[in-house]
Amino acid sequence: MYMQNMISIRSRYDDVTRAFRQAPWRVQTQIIATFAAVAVVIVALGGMYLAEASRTATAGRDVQSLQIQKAELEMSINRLNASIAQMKSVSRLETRVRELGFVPAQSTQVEFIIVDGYRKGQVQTATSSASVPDETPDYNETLGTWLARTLSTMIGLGG
Amino acid sequence: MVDSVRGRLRFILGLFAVLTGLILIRLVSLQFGSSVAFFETQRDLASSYRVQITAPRGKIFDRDGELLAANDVQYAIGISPDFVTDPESVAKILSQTLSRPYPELYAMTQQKGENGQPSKYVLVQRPVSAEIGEKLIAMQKDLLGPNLAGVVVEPMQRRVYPGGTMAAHTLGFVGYDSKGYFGVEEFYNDVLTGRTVTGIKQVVPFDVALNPNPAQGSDLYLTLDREIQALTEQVLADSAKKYGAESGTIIVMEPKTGRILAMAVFPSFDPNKFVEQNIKPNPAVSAQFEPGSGFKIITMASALQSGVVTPESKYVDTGYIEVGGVMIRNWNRAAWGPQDMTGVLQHSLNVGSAMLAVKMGPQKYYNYLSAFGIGQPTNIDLSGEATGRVKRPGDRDWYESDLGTNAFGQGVATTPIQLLVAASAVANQGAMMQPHLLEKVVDGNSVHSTRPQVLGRPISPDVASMLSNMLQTSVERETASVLVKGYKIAGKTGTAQIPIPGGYDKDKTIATFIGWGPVDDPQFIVLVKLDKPSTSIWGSETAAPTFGELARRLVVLMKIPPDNVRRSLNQGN
Repeated sequence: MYMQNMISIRSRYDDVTRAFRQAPWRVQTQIIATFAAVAVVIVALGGMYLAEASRTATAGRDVQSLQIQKAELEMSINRLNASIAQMKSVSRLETRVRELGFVPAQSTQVEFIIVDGYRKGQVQTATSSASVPDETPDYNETLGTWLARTLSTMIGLGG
Repeated sequence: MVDSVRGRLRFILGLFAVLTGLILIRLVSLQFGSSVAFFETQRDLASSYRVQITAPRGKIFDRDGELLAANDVQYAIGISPDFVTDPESVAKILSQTLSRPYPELYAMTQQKGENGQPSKYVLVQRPVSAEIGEKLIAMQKDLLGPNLAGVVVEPMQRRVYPGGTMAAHTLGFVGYDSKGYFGVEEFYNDVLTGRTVTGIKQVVPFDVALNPNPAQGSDLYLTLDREIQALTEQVLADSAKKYGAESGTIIVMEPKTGRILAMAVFPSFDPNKFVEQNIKPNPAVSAQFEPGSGFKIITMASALQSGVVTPESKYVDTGYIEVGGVMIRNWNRAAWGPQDMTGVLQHSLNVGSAMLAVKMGPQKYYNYLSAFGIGQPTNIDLSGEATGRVKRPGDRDWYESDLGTNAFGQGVATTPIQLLVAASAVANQGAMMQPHLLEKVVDGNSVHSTRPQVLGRPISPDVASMLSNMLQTSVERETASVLVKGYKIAGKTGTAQIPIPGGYDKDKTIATFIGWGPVDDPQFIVLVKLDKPSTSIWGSETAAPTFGELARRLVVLMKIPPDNVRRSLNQGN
């Protein structure tokens, strides 16, 4: 029984060998298919690299653009602050209140009222608003880390 | 034939193979050889450059948070003649925009350096307003607009002072080198200046990275009150005009804390236009002058504290006293007869003051002057403070007669702030407080506040109280122009002669008045100094009414109730 099986396998192998010998295009097809598969993988990897590089470059452009925008906004804020301070300058306010008909009060014109139980409150002085800590992470993802992250995500999703 | 062709082909193939091999070897050597560092440097130079990122300078506020100094953006306009391709267009546009002559600007576009090559950069105007700068930038970006190649429009941070001339000598200014000069800007330059950091500017978006954020300079909150400052400046300017004074200074301080509420100087300057003006140091802290009769406060305080006299002590004023061989006379050369110590202050008697100094003796008297801080800097937080000068026994230029003349403010040099701080001991129960302008520093989320500090206690509270009452009585009897209805005011006039080579100027004086109020709970102490008033040489006729005018409005601005109301309020609380 064992011998019969061995003879049968040997016979099939001989048939296949003969068929390939008689039709060499089959070997060529196999080689071409292998090369094509490798090429597809390379092209896919290249495409992914290009896509990633493109995204990185776009992000870089965005960062540059935001940096310029930030600088312009800071300039604008400074200008507006200076402008507000100029609008609130004593000389300007004094001119305006005089135009509105007000005059400086004299000590004899001021009336102080004693209110029982009232205690003078503490003077509150303005302080600058609390600064927000910069928690923006650096963009430092490489193609390798991106691939690892994507694959782990896919595996995670599959699981 | 065929062999010959094959041989040639082999030769050519071999040649190409050798050449290809050489190229490969070179490529490998370039990629991995010793030149790698050089090429990396070249790549970095082409794709990135270093930039200095300057943090904004800290702002300056008054005690109520009103902005006194801020940052604004202006522009510097320059030309790079190397890159100018249309000089006519550049000169024409800049001429129209900057209102400058066309030939001058055209010449700038053609300017050459020492080597005969076109200059790299020529500064045209700095600063120009943001409107003009942005207009030029818009023109440069407009493809259909004029050819402005070679025009350099650079933004620059610039310090602006919204109040213009207000508190200019106290604030100082910031130069184009971003350093503070004079006043608070110079004194606190290190605190106000943000740290400059170096960043990398990447040209290639692929390599772009976030640059570090430089630490911004801290904001300063001063003790100045801009409303009191504006009022003080207005009163000073009006008085200088009214009395024909060349210049003047007024300092308003809280005697209990040493906080400077206002520091006015006439004439002032506009720190926004510092280039165009001749700016001098703040005379409130740097001008040394002979204080004159205002100094009698210090002499009387010393005499009372040392116990050589009491307020009731009497003497007969004969109109002269000889000290060290020099005859000292009263301001009007008259004999005032029997006088008590209040009379010495009320009539500003030189003879009585000299007598007090003689009674104390030089050692005791000059020790008291040291205790009052005369001849020493107060260490106020302003740049350029002068020390003043007191000659002492043992100094080569000290004579015995100096003891007599120093007693009424001659032959001794003080600064306005020094004199004010010394007198504040009398107003503040014997304690001189450290004068200061900084209320607090705000650095991000942290706030550092300044606490009032005692500079010295030259006299006891009892003596201070006695002398305050004597000065109150003397102004009520003699100097009505300083009185404020409903408030008790104490003070002393001064008329100081101006030393010139060989003696004193006969026609010109420095008129002063030092006063405070309310006497039993002093909220302000004021020094008024008018230089060379022309309508009258006397402090009682120039500086004293100036003080009165200021004090009458100061009690309103500072919300100080009249004495009777305040006492009722205190009883209520």
